[in-house]
Amino acid sequence: MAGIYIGIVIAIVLIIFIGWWITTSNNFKRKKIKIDEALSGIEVALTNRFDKLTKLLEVTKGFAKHEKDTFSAVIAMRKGMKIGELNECCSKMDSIGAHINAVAESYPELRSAETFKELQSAIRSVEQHLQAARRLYNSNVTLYNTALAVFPSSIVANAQNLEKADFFVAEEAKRADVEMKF
Amino acid sequence: MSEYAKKFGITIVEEPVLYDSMLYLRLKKATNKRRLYTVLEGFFAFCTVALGLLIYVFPPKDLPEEVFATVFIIVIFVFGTATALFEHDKKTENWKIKRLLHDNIVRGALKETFETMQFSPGWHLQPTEIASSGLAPYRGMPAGSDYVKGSYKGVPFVFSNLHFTTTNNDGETKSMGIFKGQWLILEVDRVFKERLILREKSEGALGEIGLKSVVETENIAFNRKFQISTDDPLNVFLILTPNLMEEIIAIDRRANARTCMSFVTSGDKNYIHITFHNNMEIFNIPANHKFTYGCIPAIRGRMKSEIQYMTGMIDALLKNDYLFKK
Repeated sequence: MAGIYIGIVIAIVLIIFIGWWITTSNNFKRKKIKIDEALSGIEVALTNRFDKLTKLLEVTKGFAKHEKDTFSAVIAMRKGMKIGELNECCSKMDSIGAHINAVAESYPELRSAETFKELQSAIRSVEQHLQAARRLYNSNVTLYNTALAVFPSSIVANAQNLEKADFFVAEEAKRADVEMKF
Repeated sequence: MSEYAKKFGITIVEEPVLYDSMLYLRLKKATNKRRLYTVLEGFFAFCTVALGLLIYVFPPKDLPEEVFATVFIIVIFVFGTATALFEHDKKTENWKIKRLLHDNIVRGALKETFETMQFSPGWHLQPTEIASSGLAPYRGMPAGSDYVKGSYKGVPFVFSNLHFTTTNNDGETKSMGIFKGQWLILEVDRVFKERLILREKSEGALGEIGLKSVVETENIAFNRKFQISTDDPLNVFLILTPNLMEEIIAIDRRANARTCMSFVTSGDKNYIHITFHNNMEIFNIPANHKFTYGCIPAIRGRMKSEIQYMTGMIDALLKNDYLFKK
């Protein structure tokens, strides 16, 4: 009789354990899907930014013909880029944006051109979306990485060889301390 | 909103009509009258009960029963009527005091703070105005006072004191005790694809408490304080910038209230609802307040400070480019 009771207890414990394992595993999958969704949000925002910057570059080249050679950065955007590649694209776009702004300083007629102003405004809006998408992605990565690290969900993560997701880092220039010169 | 305002005759603000000295004299006169009527009301109420009891317990022996009954009714009627009349007079004086304060202090304070403004002390936000927010309690009917509609730094707004009542099967109306405070609605150009609701995770805040947020922001203090519900997580990060989250926490602390916010598009209009549950009514002076000449500037200052957390919240939101820059 005692053997039956022990058997029932073991069966209940096993059922609970399997249920917990499946739930935890599904939670990881849900979190991963959220990360992928957020990543695609970044991709969309970056593609938008790329398109707007390309147009802005064309407008700038039209006004600043002598500076044509200085716009030589190559940005290759494609679908399914990894987070490191997206980071690289983002920083290249940052430098192009900064370069265009620097050039525009020397060409007042460019700064006052309606198309230029509209494109700059559109870029600002896209950058807002990019910033929000980046924060959403990082928030999801934090939740995922925390679940990977903490016990007992770490047991499931280790058994399934789940790896930590990479953060979308802020560009170096913005991350660096503010330098003030007098 | 405007049709309600028109229907119920919301007044347009004018310059304060009385100087402080004149206002003080009028308030003093009304307060003295109110005190007199209170004493008289109490006296006649006491007399009604005392005489009634006296005649009932010690009826005159030599009077016929019909005459006695007539005298009894006449005495009770005369004294009872006098009590009711003095109570009415007391209420009239109370109303006069409130009117004096509203016309000369509250309207002035509002006019100094807001660009354009309509003020209706006896009116409040209507169910249709707050329904889309997702914050109004189920089966709760709004009640309140001090409806203000206008614009602040170019942002159209409307707010009022509000609490919720419910009617049971016997037709009795009683307060729900869920929310008592100020409800502010801003009209913005930004379209919200999905509704975003921020609820303070504490007892007394509107909506369901204890639900898990759909997203966690990078601000731990904010996550601890507010529950975030939306079907569009990206929208959360577009609206809740790091700076805005800090400001919301600071204003919530300053207002000593439980704050809830709702960003919603309803029809072709976009609204931000902000509710402050602080268990108080702004612009309210207790009936037994003693007026002195020196207290008028203090009351004026208090009235201004009572709207500061609302303007502070609008100022904080105005810094958000996504919400306010086209």
